[in-house]
Amino acid sequence: MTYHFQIILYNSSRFLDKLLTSFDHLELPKSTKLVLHFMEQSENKAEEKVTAQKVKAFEKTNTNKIKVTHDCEPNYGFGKGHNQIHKKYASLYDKEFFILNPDCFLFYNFFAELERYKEILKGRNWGILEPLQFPAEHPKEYKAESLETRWAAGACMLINCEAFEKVEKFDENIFMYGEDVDISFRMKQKGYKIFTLPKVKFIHVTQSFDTKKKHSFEFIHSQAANIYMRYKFGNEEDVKDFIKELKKHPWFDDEIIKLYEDMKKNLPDEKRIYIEDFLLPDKDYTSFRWK
Amino acid sequence: MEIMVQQKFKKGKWNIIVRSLGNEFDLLQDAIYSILAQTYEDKSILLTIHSDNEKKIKATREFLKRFEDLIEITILELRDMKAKRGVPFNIALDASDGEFISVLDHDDVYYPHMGEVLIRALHKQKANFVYGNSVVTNQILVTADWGEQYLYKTMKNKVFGQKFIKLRYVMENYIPINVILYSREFIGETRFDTNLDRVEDWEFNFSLMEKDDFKPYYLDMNVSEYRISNDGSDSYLHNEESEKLWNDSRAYVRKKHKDTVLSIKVDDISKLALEYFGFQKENALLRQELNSYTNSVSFKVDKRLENYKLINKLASFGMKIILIPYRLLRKIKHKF
Repeated sequence: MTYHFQIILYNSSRFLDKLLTSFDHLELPKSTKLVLHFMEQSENKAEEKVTAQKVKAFEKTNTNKIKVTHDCEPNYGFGKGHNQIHKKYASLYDKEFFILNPDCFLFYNFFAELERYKEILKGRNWGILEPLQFPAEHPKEYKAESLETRWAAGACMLINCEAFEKVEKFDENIFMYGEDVDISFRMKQKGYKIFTLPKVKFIHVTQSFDTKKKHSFEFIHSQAANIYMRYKFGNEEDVKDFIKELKKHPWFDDEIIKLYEDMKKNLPDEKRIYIEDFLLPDKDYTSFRWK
Repeated sequence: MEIMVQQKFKKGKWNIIVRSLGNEFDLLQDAIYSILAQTYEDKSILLTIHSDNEKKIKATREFLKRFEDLIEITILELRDMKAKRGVPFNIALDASDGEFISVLDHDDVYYPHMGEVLIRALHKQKANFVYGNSVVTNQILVTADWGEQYLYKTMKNKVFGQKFIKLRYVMENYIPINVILYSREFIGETRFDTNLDRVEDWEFNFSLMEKDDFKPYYLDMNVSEYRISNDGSDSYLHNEESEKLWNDSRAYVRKKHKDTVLSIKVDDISKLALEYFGFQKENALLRQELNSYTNSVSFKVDKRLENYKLINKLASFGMKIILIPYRLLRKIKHKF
């Protein structure tokens, strides 16, 4: 089995050494091969040069014989960026492919555990398998006995190619944050299931631990996507209620509404799907184990 | 004549002590990966294996081999099973070579910025004992539909963390060891008490607190997870025997430090007096705890009239309090 990883880089050279070390450190089952597809979106020549050098050097020296590609593209954002990589390389993929954030580090037994779960979940019609984020586990709920979850987080996910094609890939109206929730719900609408794999682990230096990252960007984009998804999967009342609450937030910014309006404008009516249980009784789409 | 000056501790280097019993590799793996995840780069692990079982020791060494290329790990074996919990820590302290040092239990994890933010705070505040908050995480052992067992996190909402107040620390061990980062030079020759199998960290910190140059700093930031599991992997079983051990250990620490004299700020006494006697009257246990110190610890405080009533209130619980004007404190310190 050959697994293809799609990795978008955006001023990520500081994470790259760790990420590549992680791939070299993996204990791969005999028949498992890996190909990493990097897409540099920083639009910064110096950054492009550094990341290209790093990944090329890695290809020559890594002990797991992992192959790489490195392309430079405009800053498409997350979903469109992944759609672009997919468009370019999907003909090489088997039945599934990974998307992975660059600020991650896979546990050595990642693939041994993954293969075990894939065997268990055979025939379960899964759309996405979601490895477990570590050390700050995502607070969203997954069912302890069946491992089913409402949506999978985009930092690391294994995507079923057939399901990906059926839902027409990531929604390119979302620049960043929320596209993982969006694709999960659309896959579930098509009858696919989403599972969390508790023993397939990866380190993710999440926003809250990255002392060098600005958090306002995340807030603005994620909240715009939150409104947009309510429009897409819910109704006007859900949108109004959410905006009303959001305006009370100390970080509220008019930019959020502007971004939402732009996304809404680009969404044809036929792409709106009413999902009855998109919002839970507390008006959130996520069921949290803790907040 | 050429004089060689050897620097004892490597500048910028952070040693992390991890204590293992030669089993529970799933948990140990998490502890190690949480160290690998650190955004602070110059670090190493001092991993102690406390076991006399050769198979376990060998298995642990084998398990650790896969991390050799990722981080410097010094393996320290301790085969004496009569040795108490402090002994492996002392062995690791003796082997340490970094400017900073911390302790991570094999069943807990650090958050990725732990080293970065605490080391920065230590420098900025010119402190030698810095600590953040630990998030309490409950894990339950569950069985998946196909029979697989694993730990499922159910709750993560309580946080340990309060400003350092000597008086509070004398009464209760409220700082879990997995949130503390020490200056190694400050620890010097201080070691964990080898007679203790509980609260050895409390006693250790107590000893540090007695040093004249002790400078603590509390950073209100979550830096680690304190994991509580129902699968029997917890270090402490809660039963009658264990309870006795806890109580005996606490009594041992009090006795050992009975002659301790601490300088305490009046403000701190006020805060605690209000907390323990004013607003939390229901907290009988803590009250009892405080009472047990009445004949063992003396406090000298600076005199400020506005707090007089509260000091009297504390004194009414039997605590020995000597009122000394702040300006005289230094001059007479040697007498205590």
